[in-house]
Amino acid sequence: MPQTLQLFSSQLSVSNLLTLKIFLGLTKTDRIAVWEYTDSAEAAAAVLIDTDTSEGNLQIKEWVNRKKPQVVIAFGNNNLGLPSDVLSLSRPLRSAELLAVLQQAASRFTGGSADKGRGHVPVSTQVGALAKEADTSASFVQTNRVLTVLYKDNDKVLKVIDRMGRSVIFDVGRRRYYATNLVRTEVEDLLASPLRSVQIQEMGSSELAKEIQNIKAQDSDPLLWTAALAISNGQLLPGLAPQGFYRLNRWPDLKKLGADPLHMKLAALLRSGGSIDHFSHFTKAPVESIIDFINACQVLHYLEYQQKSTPAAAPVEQKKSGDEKRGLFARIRSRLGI
Amino acid sequence: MKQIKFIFTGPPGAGKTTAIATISEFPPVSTDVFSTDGLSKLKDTTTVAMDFGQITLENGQKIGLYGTPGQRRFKFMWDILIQGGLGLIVLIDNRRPEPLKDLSMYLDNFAEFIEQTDAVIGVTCMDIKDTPTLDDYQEFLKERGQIYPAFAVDARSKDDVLFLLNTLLTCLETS
Amino acid sequence: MKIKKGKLASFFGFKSQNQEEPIEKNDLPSIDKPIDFGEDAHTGRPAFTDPVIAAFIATGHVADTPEDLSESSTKTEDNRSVELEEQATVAGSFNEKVADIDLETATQEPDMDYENEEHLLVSFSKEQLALSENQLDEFMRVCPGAYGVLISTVDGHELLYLVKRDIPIHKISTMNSSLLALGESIARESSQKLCQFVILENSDGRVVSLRINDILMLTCISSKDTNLGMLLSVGRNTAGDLMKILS
Repeated sequence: MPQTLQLFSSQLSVSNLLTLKIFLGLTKTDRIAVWEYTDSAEAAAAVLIDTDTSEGNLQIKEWVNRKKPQVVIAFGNNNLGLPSDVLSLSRPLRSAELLAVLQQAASRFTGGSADKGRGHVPVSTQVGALAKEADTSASFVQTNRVLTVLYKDNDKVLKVIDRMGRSVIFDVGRRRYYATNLVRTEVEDLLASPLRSVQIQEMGSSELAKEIQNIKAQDSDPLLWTAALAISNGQLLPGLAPQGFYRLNRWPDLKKLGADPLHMKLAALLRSGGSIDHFSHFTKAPVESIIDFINACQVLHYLEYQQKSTPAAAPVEQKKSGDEKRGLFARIRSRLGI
Repeated sequence: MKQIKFIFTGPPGAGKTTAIATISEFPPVSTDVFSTDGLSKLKDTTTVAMDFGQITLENGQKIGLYGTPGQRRFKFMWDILIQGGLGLIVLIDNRRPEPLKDLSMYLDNFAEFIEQTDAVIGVTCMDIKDTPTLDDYQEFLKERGQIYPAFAVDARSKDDVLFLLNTLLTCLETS
Repeated sequence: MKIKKGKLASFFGFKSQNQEEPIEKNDLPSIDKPIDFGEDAHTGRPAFTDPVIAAFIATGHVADTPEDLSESSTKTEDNRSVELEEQATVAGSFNEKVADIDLETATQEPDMDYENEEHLLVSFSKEQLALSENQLDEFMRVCPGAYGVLISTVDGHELLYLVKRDIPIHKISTMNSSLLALGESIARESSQKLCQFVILENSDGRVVSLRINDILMLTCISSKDTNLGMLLSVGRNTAGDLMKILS
């Protein structure tokens, strides 16, 4: 019989608070703990504090110093330097990550017996070699994600099962996925989930054929692209270096993936190739945005990469005719509204 | 002063005239005549000189939108029309028997022009016939050692045509 | 001059005799000497011509693909003028090869243009063509400076022509179709009706194009020996007569 636990939050934005309350509803089917929201910090089993605010930062320290029974969850992107007993939840707020953290919180609050009481094999052993492979490489972000495994194992068929038993099959080589009871945003969340919150099984072709009999194949490229952009956080994928030379080997279908003007520009630049600094200099965009795009291209295997140190990018010489043309293009854009 | 223009090319029936019509400020001037050869099975008419549309910029400058004849025997018109061109929009009809060969033909015949400017590829009628896929097009370009934007488009859709132009302009701006 | 039997010969019951061979670039229709048209006219022998027989009725005889027609293609290498009754030549087939050779690209290009004359969807009887040829003969006779007259489709396929010089008929028929279409478009845009002639006035001659009907046009090529007025007048009369014959 699952126990009911209360969660209190502090310094969350209105939208994040609403999202949090919705996500808590997902714990209703959990076998160990059902979480409900409370406005009373004292009644809560866990407190979630937005540490990306200065007030939140102070509150975290207060809670830690108070040594109260509540489990403290730090929500933000700068959770380094916090005590080890503070759980970390990074932005943006995603259901899979939240549920994983709440599972840990429940374990801690109830004395660490939750996992043993589950009656099934812990997640990590089911992931097996796939997760190990991801773990041993340099981390993509601070937490290893499902997407990392798919990116590395691009010729396999992988079944990913979330904590609620819902599954998605990724035929990575054919760039397809099959999902029955998950909508697209949930699959995106799943891709962004930490490995510890899911089970991943490799499937053979006959097994795949059986499972997908009545399920329509869907294009996985947009999912992988969106997930890669979301979790990139300005950090290069394993194996890529900031000083490397990057070049596209095919044009990404930005009509399908998202017609971001910066991405269009970067695709045009990457066609000729260059370094991250060069792209940043040319587009005047932050390096993190360039890296996010490069990661997304890499996940879909659109990139050629050479790990070589390149000389500092020479400033682009603006010839007069080039300026005139750019002015013309700007006027054409203005006229066409593009 | 040479007129500035965008060139739309592609096989007959791919949607060149239609695409120009979606963005031209006047209905395109066309030079369509009756088809008397095998094309008539697909289309009653064919362009024998050019389609001509136009957009006027805020400063009064005119940008021509030219559609070439699709049939290769009118190549002499292609060579005339590309004078002063900013870039090429290649529309490929995916319903045709060998769209990749069609694409190859246009890329070869406009190679010099594309080298000096740039090109973007719009594949039409993918909702009617979905192979070759866009992945096939990209693989094909990769084998040719070329990277061009290629998208599925509906030539009747102004948004799709503008997307092609937007992409072409982006390529031109960064070249 | 090589006269190539059209692939459509089979559709009209004309037996194909020889296998089609690719025509070398140098094997353009050439004549060793200018034709003495008058002599030909007096002797009654058919003038030098590369006559075209109507292709076929569209329904029931059209091959689905160009490849279906390739097996029945033929050519003859006879240099003599050929009686119409024996001919199943489609001039376009001959000149299509010329056009192919003229192109510089070496890639094997798909059958992009539906150019095969075998697909020509025009249908004329032998009598019509014979009468048309007479009209062309008459034109050449009346206009002393004329050295070429050509009936072609408005989308650039030549059908019947008489030439006294080595000129690329296929190119001219294709380019003139563009020119006539442009002329008609300009007339419309100028709020004028019915383009009657498109005239190319050159330093040593003229090329005049005009419509015969919805799908056919006439091109008249002459030196300065024929004055413009005469060329236009005779051209218009010839087109008018051809319209009646070929309707």
